[in-house]
Parts: sequence; structure tokens; C-alpha cells
Amino acid sequence: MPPRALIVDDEAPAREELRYLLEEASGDIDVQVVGEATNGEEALVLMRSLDYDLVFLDIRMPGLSGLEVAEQLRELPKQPKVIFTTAYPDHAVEAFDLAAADYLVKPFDADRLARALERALTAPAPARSEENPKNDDAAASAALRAPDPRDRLVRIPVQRDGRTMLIEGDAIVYAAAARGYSSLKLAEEKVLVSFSLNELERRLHGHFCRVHRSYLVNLRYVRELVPDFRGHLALVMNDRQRSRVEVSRRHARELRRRLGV
Amino acid sequence: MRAQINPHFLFNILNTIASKARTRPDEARELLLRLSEFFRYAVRQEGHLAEFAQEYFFVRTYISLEQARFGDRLQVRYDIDPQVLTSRVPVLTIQPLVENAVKHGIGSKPEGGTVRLRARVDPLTRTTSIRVSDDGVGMDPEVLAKLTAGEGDVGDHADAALTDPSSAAGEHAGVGLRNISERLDSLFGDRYDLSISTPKSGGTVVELKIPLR
Repeated sequence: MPPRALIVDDEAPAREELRYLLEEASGDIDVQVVGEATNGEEALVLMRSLDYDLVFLDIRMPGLSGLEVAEQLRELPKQPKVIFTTAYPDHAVEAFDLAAADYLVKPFDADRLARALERALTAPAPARSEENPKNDDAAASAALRAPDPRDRLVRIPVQRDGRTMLIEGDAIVYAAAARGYSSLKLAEEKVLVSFSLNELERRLHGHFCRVHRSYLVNLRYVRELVPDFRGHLALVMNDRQRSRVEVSRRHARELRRRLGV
Repeated sequence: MRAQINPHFLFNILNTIASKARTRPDEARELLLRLSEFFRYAVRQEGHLAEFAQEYFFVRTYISLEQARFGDRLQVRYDIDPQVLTSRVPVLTIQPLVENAVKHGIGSKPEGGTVRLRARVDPLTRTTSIRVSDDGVGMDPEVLAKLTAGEGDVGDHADAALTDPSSAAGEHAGVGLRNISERLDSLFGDRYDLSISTPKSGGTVVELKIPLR
């Protein structure tokens, strides 16, 4: 039976195009398109109820992004291979971190698509990769193995001037939510990353604490706890600017517990 | 002056055209002509002001391309006072506001939404006012409060909201509000008003008031 594929994209012409290429122009590899979803939630509902071998995930969609969908896919008992599709490959690094088989840029090139299929369908199964030391997709297996969260090297990719910089968790003073994105305050500067604060919180282990719906702070950099003018708690950070970060009432107790005050 | 083209917009519309080239070649050809129109205007370099009518045409060209991508999910309503058509407005300013509204109004909601462009001339105060609104999820009230209060130091994510967040993610995306307000500063000094609000009914409203020229 040919591999069964699901196409997830919020733009109808993009789904049509991919379906056409898969059905008519994917070379020797036979793939059967057995479903389409127009957003991440729909895709997850489909994938939880049916087994797919392959899923084409658009990265930018309303609601859940393709990256978020891929993250949730890891909880499925049988994980399909993921090929991300994007108009502009600014999330490629994150895509590989999520153990994607490949990613494709739009407009799609039929030869490139055929190579992606070959790669996805011949790569070792994404599950339990510890038992498979010869896994040649090093990036994918590294992300999957993740033996102990404390040992895991956490670096956050930041796009700047067309290059990808990797920021160490310890270099982050705090992170602030910025409409689906986050801004990271480093010792001297701020950088924007395309992770939501929730995604960052999941990635950054150890000394990070959510102190507010909009802020995640690195506890190593907390210098003082001060009341602000409304009697709420605020943090003064140990960076050059002595940045202040609001603490919401809801998060204050957990923060005090973690700081032991 | 040159528009900053959002690469996501460009490559997605090219993908749309690639798709339609097979199924609906006439429509694909029409889209290529529209995309050419869009670029012809976007790369113009002369002058800081243009007739509203030209900017309006540019907006409609842009919208027709986005509608090819999004289909019925993107609804647009125009409410343009004919008197505005001949007034002169800062070049390449309205389209980025509309693009933001498309992003927030459509990009956040799977079921899509409506973007409204309203333009009026007030002959008494000699003001042109242009309002772009969407019915998307609206802005985070805290971000909005900081934007409008100009108080930005707690966490300073107002920064991130003012500039287009996606541009910092390496996309050189649409001209952020900050970029627009810098241009308005240099053109009009303090004789203009650019405000952003999130009404109770939802969505985001950006209103620009400039001296009538």
C-alpha cells in the first residue's frame, strides 16, 4: 500500500498544488493523499483518529502553527514523518529540532519534493531512536533522544541578518511575550525569536520561572524583589539596565517558593 | 521611498499562481498582471506624498492578491469619501496598515475575518483621516496600554509590538508601525496623529489623521 499523506495548509491553492504534485509529479515514489486540513487543530483531530505515514505541515497558519502541531505529534503512538512547508524558510532550524524529515519552500519544485519524499520515507522511524545508533539524521535523532532534560543543551535559534545565531539559555535575562513571538533580553540587547513564551518555557529548563502571563525570567539574574506602585511584586534584574519585570499575583507564590523568600 | 515586501506574501502568492497556472490559467495570468502592478508601484522612488487615489489602487491590488490566497476568508469593506481621492497622503503608508490588519484579522482566525478601510476629509479642521480596522483577536491589552501610554520599560515588549514582530524574525516583513511613525514625524512633525486601539467589540483599529494637502 502506498504511504498515506495528509496535507495541512490554510491556503487552498497551496493544498491543491501540493496534492497535484504528489499525485502527478512525484517521480517514482507513489504517495496517496488521503486528507487535507486547513489549520493545526483540524490536523491534530485527523491525526489522532487516523494513521498517516507522512504529513505536510505549513508552518504559518492561524491558531496552532505547524511547529506547534509537530510538537504535539510527538505524543501520538505512531508518529507520521513530518515535512514542513513554508514560503520563507525562517523556521528551518526549529523544524529540524522538531525532528522533521525535511522542509520545502514554496513555490514547490517537483524534483525537490521527490527528494524530500525519498528522504522522509527511507529515514529510520522517528520513534525510539536510542535503539538505533546508526541513525544518520543526526539533527533529528539528537532532538528526539533528549535523555535527561537537565543534560540537554538548550540553545534558542535567533535569526539575524540572514544568519542563525544560537543563544544559550544562561545568556537570557528574561523573555517577554510579543504577540505570538517573544523578545529575549540578553545582557546588552534584545532579540526577537519566533517562539511563543509557552514554547520557550517548555524548552528552557532549570532556572527559568514564569512570573507573569507575559514574562519568563531567568532566576539567576534576579537582583531584587520590589513592590511596584500598585503593591504588586516586581523584579529588578541584574543586567546593565537594571530591567524591571512585573510579577503577576497569580505567579507570585511560585516565584517566592523557587527563590526561597 | 520603496515598499518593504514581505517575503511570506511574495512567495505565497507565487505559489498560488503556480497552482492556478494549471487549473485556472486565465486567473493565473490575471494574478501575474496584478503582481506586476503591485511591484511597479512598490518600487517607485520619487516623492514622499501621493494622491490618495493612487495609494487606494495599490491597496486594492494588494488585497486582490491576498484574496487569491485566502479566498472567502478575507473580506474587505471600503468606505471612501470621494473627496479624499485627490488629497495627498504619505506614499506607501496605507498598504502596510492594511497588511497588518490582514495579518491580525485573518492570520489569527481560522474562519477568517473582515478588514475595513475608511477614509474621510474634514474640511473644517483640514484633516484627512484614514482608519484601518480588523475583527481579529485584537491586541494584548497590556501591550496596547504600553503602546498608547508610551511607557515602555517594564519588559519593553511595546518595542516588539511597534516594530513588526515578524521582521525581527528575519523576514524583513511589512513596514512596522514604528517605521511609519518615523516617516510621519519627518513629514508632519507633531501635526499628525496615529492611534491604535482595541475596541470592546474586538479587533484592532489604527487611525491616522494628517493635515489635508
